[in-house]
Amino acid sequence: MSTRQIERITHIESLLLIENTVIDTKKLREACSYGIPDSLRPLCWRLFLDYLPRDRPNWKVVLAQQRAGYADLVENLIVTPGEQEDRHSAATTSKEVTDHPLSETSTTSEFRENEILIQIDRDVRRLRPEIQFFQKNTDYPFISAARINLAKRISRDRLAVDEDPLSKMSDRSSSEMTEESQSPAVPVKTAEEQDPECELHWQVVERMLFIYSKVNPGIKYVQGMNELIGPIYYVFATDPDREWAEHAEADTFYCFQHLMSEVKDNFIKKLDKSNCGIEIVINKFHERLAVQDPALYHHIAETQQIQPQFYVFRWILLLLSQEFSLPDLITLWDAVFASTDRIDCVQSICLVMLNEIREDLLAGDFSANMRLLQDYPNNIDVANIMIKAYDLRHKKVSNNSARSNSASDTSDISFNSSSQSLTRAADRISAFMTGAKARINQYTNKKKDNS
Amino acid sequence: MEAGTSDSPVFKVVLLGEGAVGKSSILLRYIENKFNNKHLSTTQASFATRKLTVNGKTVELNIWDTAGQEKYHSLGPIYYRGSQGAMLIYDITDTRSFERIKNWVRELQEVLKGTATLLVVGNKVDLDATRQIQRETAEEYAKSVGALYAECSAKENIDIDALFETITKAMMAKASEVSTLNRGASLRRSTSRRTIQVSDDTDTEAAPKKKCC
Repeated sequence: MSTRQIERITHIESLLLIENTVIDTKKLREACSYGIPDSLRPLCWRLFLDYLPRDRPNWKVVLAQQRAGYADLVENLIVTPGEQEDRHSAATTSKEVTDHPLSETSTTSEFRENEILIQIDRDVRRLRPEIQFFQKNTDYPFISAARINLAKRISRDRLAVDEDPLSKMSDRSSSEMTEESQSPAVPVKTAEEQDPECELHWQVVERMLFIYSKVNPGIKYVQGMNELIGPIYYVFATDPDREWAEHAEADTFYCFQHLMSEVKDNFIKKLDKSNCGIEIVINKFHERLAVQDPALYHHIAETQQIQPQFYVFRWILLLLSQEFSLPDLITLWDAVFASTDRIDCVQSICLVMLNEIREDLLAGDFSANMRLLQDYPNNIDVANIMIKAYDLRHKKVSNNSARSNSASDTSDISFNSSSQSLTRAADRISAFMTGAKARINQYTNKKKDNS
Repeated sequence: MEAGTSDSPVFKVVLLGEGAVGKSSILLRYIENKFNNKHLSTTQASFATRKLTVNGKTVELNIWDTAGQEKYHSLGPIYYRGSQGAMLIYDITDTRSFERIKNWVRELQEVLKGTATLLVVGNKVDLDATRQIQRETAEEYAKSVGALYAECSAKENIDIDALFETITKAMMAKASEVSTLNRGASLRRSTSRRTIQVSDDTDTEAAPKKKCC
């Protein structure tokens, strides 16, 4: 490790020292914008996602409250939902005493809930297939909820309402499970054959998303949320400090909820066409590209009519979750979470990503460019992307000077920071990342040993 | 429509249908001859190209595989606008997915006004034992809306290539009809062998690249 790397890590550590009763989050965010060392990442993410307060003396109380609150949610919404729904139905009946809506209401709502659950189930089973982590048992199952086994609930329902044509969704889900259990390449235990007090990591994610959908009825669950919660849970659950890892589920839930509060508009269909929905966000991104790199914009957006919906929609909606391998993504998210304007940070990264493949895009035809944009090359150095994105955000070139230069000059000015600072920062980041990569390799290897 | 990498005419085809009916699986089977039980859910339409030769003529297909979940339906028009073909895919074991394609057909008829070839596709024939939609019912429906009909299984690789051949033949026939009509209507164009939908290699260099949508 170079002196610079050590300096930076020491700096981050010093900001988090126990004697600092109030953590200077402003300085910490700045220090973390090129990446966070593995050992400090879970703590830093909790701070950046406003789960932990800056005042360290309050941590104990806050954590105890939040974690107890989450345990209550699990108990009330999953372990004994009947009681709660009965209370709810009772309230309805007292208002409308005429009919007896009790049975119908609860059946319909359970049907709707199960549809959401089926959707979640389908998506979490295939979470980050490049690593085995989500297919492994957690050391910290939520015992009472594990006995319930949400996935089983869907297949059980299928048997109960077999005559109902609306139960087709469940049919499909159970047939998928069968297929998986038969596939030799995917050593996944079905929900049925597993120890009732064990849980796989994807089942923990399933529970969190299901609770989120119940607590946030205006959004429920939309495909893609799984890609946002997955990496956060991975970081918390693989924390070497067991005291923290033990509470990965509750802590992830609240951090995810906080992250969603910032990006949820992108997931709400009703807002798609409004001034806060995803469409305006991606259209603005293309406007930004037009200013930043007119030649590239002209080529892909005007000549080839590549619309932002074709690629940057997913980039921004999923905060790049599907564009990079998990270790790369986690490092990028260090910068994204550390930033106080996360949307702007993600967009800057997207601009740099385009710039990194600029020459190929300018030479490529529509088909080649679509493939490039939808399957971003994995040989691009994430450390470089982060440094350039940082520079782009902190010394934005004025629009006027950008326009007065020729297209290629513009991109040089906007994107190329001093090569010296670039190399130094690149060193630092790759040091951080080696840790993450090693840990992931460990998981993969363990899996190989088992099989 | 975008001029392709080669001199073959290019047709744009969009795959539509409810979530999990197998749109991505059909495409994966067609392009890479693979099947993946754990295929990622599609949140953003994905793009693929493939060349095929029909009746001795090579064409290139630009295929858009769209997202199935309700939330992402508002993005549909971006992909089907300017398409020469649309596959309306449902799962033969799922009544609701069949009802959903009726909505898509109505929408396409309103917007594309008969300019595109529609192919109704019943996927998952490997699950025939739990079939909910009878072939005759679906065929009758397809006929009633002027669409073609086919069944397939992406999992067992049954009739996947045939789907794309069927729709391509129909698109080519439609393109030459349009071309004939145009030649009749406009004498100026009579010397050009270009058609509305099919771009000619001699023009791709000189003319600005054609739009995809």
